[in-house]
Amino acid sequence: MTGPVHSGEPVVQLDGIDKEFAGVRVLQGVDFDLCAGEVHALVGANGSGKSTLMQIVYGVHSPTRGTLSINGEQLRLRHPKDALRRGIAAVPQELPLVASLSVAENICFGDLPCRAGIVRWRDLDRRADAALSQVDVEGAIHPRQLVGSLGLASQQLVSIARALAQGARVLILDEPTSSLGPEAVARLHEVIDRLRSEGRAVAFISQRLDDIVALADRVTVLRDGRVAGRLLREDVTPEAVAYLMAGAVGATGPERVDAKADDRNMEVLSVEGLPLPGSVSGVTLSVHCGEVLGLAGLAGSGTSELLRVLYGTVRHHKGAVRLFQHDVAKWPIRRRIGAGMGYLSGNRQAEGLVLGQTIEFNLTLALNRRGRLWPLPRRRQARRVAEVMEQLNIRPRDPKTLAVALSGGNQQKVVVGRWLLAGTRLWLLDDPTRGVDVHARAEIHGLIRQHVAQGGGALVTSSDIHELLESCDRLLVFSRGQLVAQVDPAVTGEDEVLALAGGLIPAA
Amino acid sequence: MTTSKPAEVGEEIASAADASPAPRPRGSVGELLRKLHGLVGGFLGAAIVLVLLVVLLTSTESSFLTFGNLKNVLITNSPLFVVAVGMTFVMISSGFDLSIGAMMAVSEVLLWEFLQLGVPSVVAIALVLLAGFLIGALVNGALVGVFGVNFFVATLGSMTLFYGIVDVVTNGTTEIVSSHTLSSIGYGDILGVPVPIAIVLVALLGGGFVLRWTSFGRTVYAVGGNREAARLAGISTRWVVMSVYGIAGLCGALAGVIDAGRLGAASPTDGSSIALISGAAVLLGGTSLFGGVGGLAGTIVGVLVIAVLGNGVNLLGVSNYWQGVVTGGVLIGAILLARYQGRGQHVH
Ligand SMILES: Nc1ncnc2c1ncn2[C@@H]1O[C@H](COP(=O)(O)OP(=O)(O)OP(=O)(O)O)[C@@H](O)[C@H]1O
Ligand SMILES: [Mg+2]
Repeated sequence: MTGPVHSGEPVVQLDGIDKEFAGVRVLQGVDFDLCAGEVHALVGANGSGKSTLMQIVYGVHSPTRGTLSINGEQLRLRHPKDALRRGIAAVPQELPLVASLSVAENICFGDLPCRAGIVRWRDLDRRADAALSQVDVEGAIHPRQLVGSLGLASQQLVSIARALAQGARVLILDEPTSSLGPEAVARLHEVIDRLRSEGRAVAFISQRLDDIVALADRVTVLRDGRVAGRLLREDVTPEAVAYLMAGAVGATGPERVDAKADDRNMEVLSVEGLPLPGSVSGVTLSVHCGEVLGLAGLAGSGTSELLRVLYGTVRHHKGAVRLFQHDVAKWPIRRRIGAGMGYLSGNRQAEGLVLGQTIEFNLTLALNRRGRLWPLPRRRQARRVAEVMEQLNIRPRDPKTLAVALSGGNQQKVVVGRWLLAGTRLWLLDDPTRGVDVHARAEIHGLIRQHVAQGGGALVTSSDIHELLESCDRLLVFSRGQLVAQVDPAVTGEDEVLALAGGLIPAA
Repeated sequence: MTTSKPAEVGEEIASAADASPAPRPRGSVGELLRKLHGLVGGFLGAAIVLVLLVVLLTSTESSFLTFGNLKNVLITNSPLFVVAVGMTFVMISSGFDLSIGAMMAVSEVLLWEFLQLGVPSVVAIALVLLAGFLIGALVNGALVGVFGVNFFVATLGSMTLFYGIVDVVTNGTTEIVSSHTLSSIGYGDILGVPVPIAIVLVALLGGGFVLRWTSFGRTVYAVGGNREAARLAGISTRWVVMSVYGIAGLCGALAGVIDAGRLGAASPTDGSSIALISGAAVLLGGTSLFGGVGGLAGTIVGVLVIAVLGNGVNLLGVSNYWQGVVTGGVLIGAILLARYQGRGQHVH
């Protein structure tokens, strides 16, 4: 690790920033600065204003009050292009990629190598490759691939590569690791260390406190739109950060409830010979009553695909899927939901939310799926919505808030809450806590366990293996579409899981 | 460029130690506009244009603000209103129905055929409405929802097809349809309300109820707002799309029945421009071409703008040649205004 290469003057300085959206103040008197050769981490609970503050730096929003100075010059940015012209590049929380263009076109977007107006595809590929190779550990992403065909983790890598390719002196990373697996995270840490030693300035947002501890030279903690505290490198511990975020010792989530012992032998879900891309013999597994089953694997291991196949989004012709003794293999999604299945996509904006509609609309979407012509039980639903918003601490608490206006973590809580409302019994959760703050994460795992204890089960994936080990009863490890091992989280370490997932230890 | 005194900033931080942010009282024009916006939703621009038009016409034409004239405006535009209800459903689901006007011609000709065959006119009307729904759902709806054909291509095709069939059946001539029931639809009263206006009210109330208060309405918004999310939440997107085009077909047929009642004739070219005009009215009313947002309240305002505008150019004696120029210009202005004030709504 390289030490900070400070050079006194801040490159970016924010003074007394206020920001209002439609009269609601989300930032209040925030000061923030960023020096060359340092990593300045910004942390805070969901909705505390981190993304908004950084969006002011990279030209998406203008502050309502307060000033932004770049290299000592006070100015106002009107567009992310303005920011880029002044050497500020960003990886926004919601990825700004064009799904119908290739990886290379996305990486060089707005700056395609041309001669006489004609794109030079060879140069384009070369530049994209150079940027990609910095972050893509497995070399799994090809420059000519369409971005839309990539998984979320790969898309995240593409947008990081894009920011790197812009060669900016200031880099703003808004939760760049939220869907990355351990290897990609480690590689990103190396890249950031290198940028720092080159004298660039990096602002970094993450809900993963490991990231903060590993990288930050300084930490600014936001709470409800104000600076709640600042820490220097030597004082940064996960406990200190979590404490400042919440203003209290972190809640540990609801009390743990387990299913009754005599229920535990009942099978909620049993799967036999289910084909997955890359698998030879198909996947066979079962979930017992009250059980939370974790699925671990690196990018491309097939865990996300497994959940989709189980939910019926992809047709399969072989293999048996039994849910509560029903053979559901041929059932359409709406019937599976009726039987108690609920699937949470890892990509909340593309496949979860109706962004132009309210929290209430989105929370009750699965509940109201049937499309009947009689009046909705609005009172009753409003009561349930209020309960779930309270349980998950969704902010702002007004159920009429539009989903677009929510912070990333709160959007994630809404898609989780949808299945709490729908009376789900078998939970298929693809990275359910992506971008959710530590406190809410404990709450979500606790709630899922509560529901599962009443006669259901859950299958959970996460890019954060540590979190899986903490929250699951059993962990299945996948590698390239094959189920390679089953481990007991109580006695297994992260390294061992990683080695299994990477195929370094032959499957037992 | 803004500057703030350092002292002020310091104070704010000091006072910002722990309490959560409190909403601040404010009383500015911006605040008022925001409240208005909250009240009328995405059609503030259209509402402003409507008010301006009404004020202008009231002050220049004494005959504008009379009961007779206003009633006349509503009656003449009743087919447009009904068609716009169907179009609102389709556009919320992020589609468009170019064939909705052709459906008017189809329904008039069907009505003529049924009456020729001696079917009682009440039954004939019911059959025509049913046919409108089924044709909309099974032709446009199936093409778009089941076979995944782009809505523009699908409904352009069905529009051409419908007009073609109508021409074949009628040899391109206007046929007389007359029955007691039909003329009371065109010119009768229910409780003092002219029947076409009563039909419009029923369509608006029925449509509004379905969109706002039922789970079917929710599914229409969901399919328009994010089709994949809707599918993963268990919504049968095919059924929704088929129903929505069915509703559009039903509305087209109903508008055709009104026109047949008013004109006493089945015209094979009826409704040839109403699809685009109703689309413009729905857009003016704040429903997006990309779907997922909007509603009938806005559509009412949008249709009224177009209706009052049409009435105005007539009252003011604008020459026929200039009517299109004036109407088009005002529409473009209104849409720009609607867009401008809608900008604050979305991020990026
Ligand atoms: N475009 C917008 N319109 C209205 N309110 C907004 C908008 N963008 C953000 N907000 C509000 O501002 C507050 C701060 O949001 P922000 O996205 O900055 O939070 P965050 O700290 O990044 O949270 P997260 O960890 O969940 O990403 C939230 O309450 C959010 O609802
Ligand atoms: Mg954020």
